[in-house]
Amino acid sequence: MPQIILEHINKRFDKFVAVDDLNLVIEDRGFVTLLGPSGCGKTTTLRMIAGLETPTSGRILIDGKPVYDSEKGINLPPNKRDIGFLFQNYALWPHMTVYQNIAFGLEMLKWDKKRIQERVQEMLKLLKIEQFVKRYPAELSGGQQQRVAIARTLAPSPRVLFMDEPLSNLDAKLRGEMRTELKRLHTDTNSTFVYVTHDQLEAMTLSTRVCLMETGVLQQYAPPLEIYNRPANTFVAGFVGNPTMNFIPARVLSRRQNGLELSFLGREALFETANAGEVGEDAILGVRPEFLPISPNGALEAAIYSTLPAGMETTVKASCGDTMLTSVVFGSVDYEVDSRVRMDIVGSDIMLFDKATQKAAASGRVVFPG
Amino acid sequence: MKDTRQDLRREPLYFRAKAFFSKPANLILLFFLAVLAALSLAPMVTMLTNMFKVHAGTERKLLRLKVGSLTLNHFEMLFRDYEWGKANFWIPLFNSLIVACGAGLLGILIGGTVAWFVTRSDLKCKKFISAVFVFPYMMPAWTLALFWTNMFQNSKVGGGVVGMVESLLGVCMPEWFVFGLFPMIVVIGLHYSPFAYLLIGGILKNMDATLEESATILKASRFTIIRRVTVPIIMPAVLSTFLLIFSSGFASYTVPVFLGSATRTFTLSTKMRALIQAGYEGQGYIIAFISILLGTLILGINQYFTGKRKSFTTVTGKSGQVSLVRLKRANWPISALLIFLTLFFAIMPLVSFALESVIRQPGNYSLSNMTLNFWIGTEASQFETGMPSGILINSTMWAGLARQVGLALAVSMVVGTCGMLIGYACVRRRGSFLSRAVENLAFFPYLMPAMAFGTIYLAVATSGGFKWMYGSFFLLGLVAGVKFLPFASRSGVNSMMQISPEIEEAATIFGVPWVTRMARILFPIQKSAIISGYLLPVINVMREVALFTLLVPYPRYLLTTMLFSFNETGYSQYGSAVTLLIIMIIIGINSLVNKLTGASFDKGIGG
Repeated sequence: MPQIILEHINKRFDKFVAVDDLNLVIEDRGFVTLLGPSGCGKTTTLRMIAGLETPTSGRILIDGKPVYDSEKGINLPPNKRDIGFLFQNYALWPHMTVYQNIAFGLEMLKWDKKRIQERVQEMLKLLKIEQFVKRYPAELSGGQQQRVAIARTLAPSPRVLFMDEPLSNLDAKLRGEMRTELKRLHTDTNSTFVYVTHDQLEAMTLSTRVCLMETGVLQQYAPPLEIYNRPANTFVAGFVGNPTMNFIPARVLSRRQNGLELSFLGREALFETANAGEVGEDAILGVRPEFLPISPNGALEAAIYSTLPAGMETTVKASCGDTMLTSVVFGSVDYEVDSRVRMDIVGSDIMLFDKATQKAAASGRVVFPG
Repeated sequence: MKDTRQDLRREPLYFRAKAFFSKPANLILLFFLAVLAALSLAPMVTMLTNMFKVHAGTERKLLRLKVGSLTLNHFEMLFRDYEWGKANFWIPLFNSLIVACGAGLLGILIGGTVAWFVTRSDLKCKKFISAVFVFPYMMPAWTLALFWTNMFQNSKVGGGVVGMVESLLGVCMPEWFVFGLFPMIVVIGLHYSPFAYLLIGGILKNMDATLEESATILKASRFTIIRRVTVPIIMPAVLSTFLLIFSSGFASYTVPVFLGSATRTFTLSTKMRALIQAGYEGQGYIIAFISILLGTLILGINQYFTGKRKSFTTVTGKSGQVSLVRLKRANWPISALLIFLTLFFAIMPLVSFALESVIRQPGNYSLSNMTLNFWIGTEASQFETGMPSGILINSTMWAGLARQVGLALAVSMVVGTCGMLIGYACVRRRGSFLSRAVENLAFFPYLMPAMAFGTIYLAVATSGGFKWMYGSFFLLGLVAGVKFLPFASRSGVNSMMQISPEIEEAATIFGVPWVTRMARILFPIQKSAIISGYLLPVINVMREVALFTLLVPYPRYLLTTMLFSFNETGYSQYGSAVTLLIIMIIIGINSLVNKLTGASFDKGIGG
C-alpha cells in the first residue's frame, strides 16, 4: 500500500517561489490535509504529487517508486501514478450524463462493458445517486454534482485520492454532511487521502495529519491536536483555532529552574515549564480563548468590549489595558458593555513564543503570585 | 547554503526539454510560431523593401533608374511635392479619417440607442427588432453601398442613372447625399451598428441592475442614472467599439469604391490601389505601411482602454430583475420608427437587388420593363455584357461560384482548425512567452487593411521564387487564410477560456490521450463556439471583395470579383443578381449551421 514521500520539492513560476524545499512523508492510509491561506502553495503541492504540475526540482516517491526525480529525469504522467483527483469545481463533463461521466474513465482503462456497468452501479449506490444516472451535470444541485464527481474519481479504485478544496462550493449545511461522508469513505475505501483546504475546521476534523503551509514553506506537519495544542510558531497558532489565540506581549524578567518570570498586562507571573527553549527578552504569550475564563477571582482586570452569544458558547471580547483579549465562555451569557470583569489564565497548554523568531519556545502554565 | 542545494538539484537540460515537448500545447505553439512568422512577417519585410525600390513601368520611366535599385524618391514625391502629396496622400487621409470617425460615431449612436431600448425599456416587438437589426452585419458592407446608389442615384449626379427614389417619388437627391463622404459614413456606420448593438447590449444586459437600483433609492432621476451611472459603466465598451468601427471604416475599400468613384472621392485604401494600378507601386506600399501603422496605433489605444478599465466591463450581476423604463405614450411611435428603420436597412436591400436584377432599363420600374433575362435568359448579347446568358444558366457564374465556395470551404477547414489549436495552446500555456508571441502573430493580420494585405502578397507573388503563386487558387487560399485567422484564433481562445483546465485534467488522470481529450471532451463541450470558428471564415471568404480583386488571375475568376467587374463596367443588373445570390448563400449557410448546431455568425462576432 502506498506511502508518498516528497524530498526537497521546489516549484518556481519564473521568479515566484510557490513551494520552497518541501519535505513530507504521507503515511499509507493516512488522511493528510494540506492547510494554509490562499496562495500558500498547497494546491501546487497537491498537483505536483498528482503529476498535473511539474516541480522545478526534487523527488517524489509513491509506494517506493519514484514518479518524479529531477536528477534522474523521471516524470510519470498522472495516469501512471494510480491516483484519483477530485477538483474544486468538480470538473464534470457537461456534455455527458452521470453514467457517462463515471464510465468514461473506466472505458479509457479498457474495462469490458459488463464490468463497467457493475462498477458504475456500485458507485452510484455507494454515493446514493442512483436516481440521477441519466441526468446531465447541469440538471443536478451542487451537492449531487459533488457526489457524481466523487463517484467518478473513486470508480477506478485509485490507491491515493487527491482532493482540492472539494467542499468549498457547497453551502454550510451540506458541507457538514459531506465532511462526515468523506471521513466515512476514507475508512470504506481503504486508501490514502490527500486533501487541500483553507478551512482549519475541516482540516482539524477530518485528517490524521495536518500539513500547514505559508508562502510555500512548510510550517508544521503534525496530527491536528498537536497542531492545536503545540503550534510550532505564531503563524500556526493564529491560523488554527476559532476564535483565534490571544497573543499577549510579554517580557522575560528572569529564568528560574521551573520556568520563566514574565511581566505582561501590567502583572508579573511565573511561566511554569519544563521545556523552556530559546527565548529573548521580548516574548509573546499565546493563550487560547478557552484558557482565559471570566472568573470573579481572576488575576487580570478587563473592560467588556462586546459579547457575542452563539447559543452553545459565548465569545467575549474585553480590553485589558491596550490589549484586546478574547475569551470563550460555555453557555449563553451577556455582559453589559464597558462593565469590568476579572479574567484568569488556566490550564497547562499556554504557549510562549519568542518575539524575534516567532517560534514556540515553551509550553506550560501561568502562575500568578499570591 | 540553499543555493548550492538548489543547483545540485537542478534538472538536466534534456529533462526539461523532454518535459517541454511532452506537452502538445508546446508543440502546437512552436509550429505556429514558425508558420505565422513566415506568413505574416516575411511579407511585411517585402513590403518595407518595396517602399525603397524602383519598379518596372511608370516608376522606371519617370526616374530613369534601373528596376530594383534603391531610391527615396517615392517618399519625396508623396511628402515633398505639395500638389501631388495633397491629392494622393493628405486629402485621401483626411477623407479616411472623416469616414472612420463619422462611421464610428453613427454606429455607436444607432447601435447603442437600439441596445438601450431593447435591454432597458418596455419597447414593443423587441424580439423582431433584435433579430432583424443584426441582419445588415451579416451582409457584406458593400451591399449596403450598392443599395444606397440603387436607391438614390439620379439623373443629375454621377453617371446619370435613374434610381428608385427618383423613379418612384420624382425626387432628385443632391450629389453629396448620393456619392462621397456622407453616404460612406452612413453605410459603414449602419453596417457596424449591429456590432455596437451586440457589444453594448451585452454589457447592458449583464450589468448588475442593483447598480442602477441603488441610484434610484438615492433619489436620482432616470436621466441622471443614465448619465452618471449607466453611461460611465459602459463607456470603456463604447470606446472600444468606436475604435473597432473606426479601424474597420479606415480600412474599408469596397464601400469607398462604390460610393466614391463617381465623384473621384478617394480614401487611403482606394488611393493605394489607384496608385499601384497607375504604376506608382512604391508610393502605394508607403500608404499601405502607413495604414498598418495607424491600425496598430488604434488597436494599441483600444487595448490600453479596455485593459485599464477592465474592472468596469466585467461587472456582471446575479440580479436578472431589471425594472424596465416605461415608454408610455412614446412606446408605439418609437417601436414603429425602429421597425421601419430596421426593415429599411435589412429587408429593403434585398427587395432592391431583386428589382434591379429584373429591369431592362435602369430607373424604369414598370412591369413592361421587367425581364428574367439576367437570371435565366439568353438574349444577353444585345446588352453587350460579355455574358452569353443569364447568371443561373451561365457557366462563368457557376465556375466562379464553385471556386468561391471551394475557397471558402478550404480556408474554413484550415483556418478553423488552426484557430482552435491556437486557442487551445495559447490558453493552456497562458502567460508564457510562446503563448503571447503566437497569439499576437495570429492577430497581426487584423491590423492590416485588406487592401494593404492583398498588396503585400501581390508583391511577394510577383517577385523572387514565388512567381508560381501568382494568380493561383493556392495564393487566394493562403492570403484569405492568413487574413481571417485573427477571427478564428480569437474565437478559439475565447471558447477554450470557457473550459476550466480541470475539465481536461480530469481526463488526463484517467490516461486519456490528447487526441481523444480534444475529440471527446473539449470539442463536444464547445461545439457551437468551435463551429462558429469554422463558420466565420466561410462567410468572410464568401463576401470578401477587396482582398481578392488584386490577386485573382482574371476579374471573373470568383463570384465576388465578378460582381465587382460588373459594377465597374456598368452592368448593374448582373451585379444586383450576383449580389442577391451572395446574400442568399450567406444567409443560407448561417441558418443551416444555426439549425444544425445552434452556432451562429453573430455569436462568434466581437470576440
